[in-house]
Amino acid sequence: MVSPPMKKHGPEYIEMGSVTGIAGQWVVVVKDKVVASSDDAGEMFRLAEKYPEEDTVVTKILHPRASFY
Amino acid sequence: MSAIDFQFNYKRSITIDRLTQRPILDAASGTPLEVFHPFIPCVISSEKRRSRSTEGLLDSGSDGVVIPRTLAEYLELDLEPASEPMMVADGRNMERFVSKIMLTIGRGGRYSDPIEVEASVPAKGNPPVLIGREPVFRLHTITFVEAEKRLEMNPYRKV
Repeated sequence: MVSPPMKKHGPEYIEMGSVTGIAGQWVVVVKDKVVASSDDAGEMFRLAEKYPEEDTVVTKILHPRASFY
Repeated sequence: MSAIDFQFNYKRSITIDRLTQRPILDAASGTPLEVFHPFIPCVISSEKRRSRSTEGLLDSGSDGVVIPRTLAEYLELDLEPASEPMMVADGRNMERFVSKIMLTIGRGGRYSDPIEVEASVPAKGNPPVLIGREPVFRLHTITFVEAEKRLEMNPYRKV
């Protein structure tokens, strides 16, 4: 299944993209590619400083059945 | 304050199982399971540091913003023990800390004004950034269009 097309009317639209990674880990994504992963978010944010800000996102891979607080 | 007036598609992810190192499969089709979550882009700042762009999970079941302790340590936040523990969904109490952060929603040059937030930092566990009701849901009208895997956030206006 592919993400449904966004409706481009109305408010500004931000594309959130997609990611593949190990359940529960934090990842550094640069230009849509995962370049590093770890259980330690701080480690990933420190590493992300090495990459251009506009190309870099730090996010977490959620387990499909994850639930939170 | 400048709130945002944006729409986002849900973040799509394919998850690799830690043990098998293989994608978790859809039981019905046998193909890698695609999962969609309502993440929104944000930047989290302290008085000392500013994060790279990250993503927070919109979570109407959370009272407020939650960040993992390792991110709090990266931001060099002053963590104060919370007066009350965090009660999780199954009724357990969890020790937590609190600290002020600045939350800026957006990406790619399109940002809200920073919002001052008292974030909860669980003493244990490794949650994603959770964006709960206070203050983001109070400042915006948020519409989840689950059937289309997208959401809209508009500044709240009293009618």
